[in-house]
Amino acid sequence: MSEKTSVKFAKKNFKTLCKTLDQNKWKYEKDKKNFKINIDPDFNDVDFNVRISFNTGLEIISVYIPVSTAPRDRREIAAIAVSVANYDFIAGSFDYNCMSGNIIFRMTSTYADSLLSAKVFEYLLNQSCKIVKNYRSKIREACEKNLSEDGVIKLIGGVNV
Amino acid sequence: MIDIKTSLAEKTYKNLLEAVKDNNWTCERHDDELKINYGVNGDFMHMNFRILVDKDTDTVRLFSYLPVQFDESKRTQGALVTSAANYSLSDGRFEYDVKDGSVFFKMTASYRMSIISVEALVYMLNYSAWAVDKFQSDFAKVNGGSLSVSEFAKKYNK
Repeated sequence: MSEKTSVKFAKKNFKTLCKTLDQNKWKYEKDKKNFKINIDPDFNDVDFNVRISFNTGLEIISVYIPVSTAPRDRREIAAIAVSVANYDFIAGSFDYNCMSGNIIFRMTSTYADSLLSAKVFEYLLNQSCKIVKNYRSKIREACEKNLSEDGVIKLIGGVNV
Repeated sequence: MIDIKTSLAEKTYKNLLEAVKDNNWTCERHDDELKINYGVNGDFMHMNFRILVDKDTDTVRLFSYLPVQFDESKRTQGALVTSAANYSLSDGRFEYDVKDGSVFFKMTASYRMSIISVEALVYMLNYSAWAVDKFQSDFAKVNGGSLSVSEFAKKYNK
């Protein structure tokens, strides 16, 4: 698909996204030029930052939520925690950089040659927030407390979305 | 009368059939389940995929079971490298079972009250084939001991 068409679809879908956020009374900052949204926890009913961005090259929309940073001596346990959390999600994943210890949640969907409905954006945002709300404190506990590998599997494996 | 969920699922499946048509992949259709199994020859190994339209969750879901399975002594390394791979991906994820060392690739697109285009489905097919082909041989190398976790992480650190 040409770059022009790709940007055309990004513009239309970005407009639908903003309208959906307005209808759901989310407060946000938008960067129309780069197709990015930032949702600040200070003005919304969440206690984490949410970024939504369009990748016009791949024609995908992604929701990103920062989760935690694992201390250097807990990097292996953090990988176990993230792997257990990710097991069997329908969509989305906790992405873990084992070099920096950074953990983020990401949920992506394609919009190539497609006009997505408000329902798709609501699903991406609400499902991402729900997963992070349910798992974040457990992942942090796994990273910070002196739990064994089995203890971490038990702690994270018991969470339901 | 066909309900709207069924109608959207069937239209999406029709687009999916169109998306797989132009590839020289071996396909096995399961029309009653809105599911296709297909095989792709990668640069390093043959890869098997399943893609289905799930009308209960209004999603198109793609799966690939990787032939690599991390040995019991390499389970933590498996968690580290599948996590590092996920961090470098823009879409999809490797799902790792810490109990038996098995690895799946999964990718999802939501189509609630929308139609996913043929082009979007072609993107899913191509991106997943690229991702599995790119990582599975390096996962096997880590399991076999010829690539370390830090070498893997450095290679794919973005």
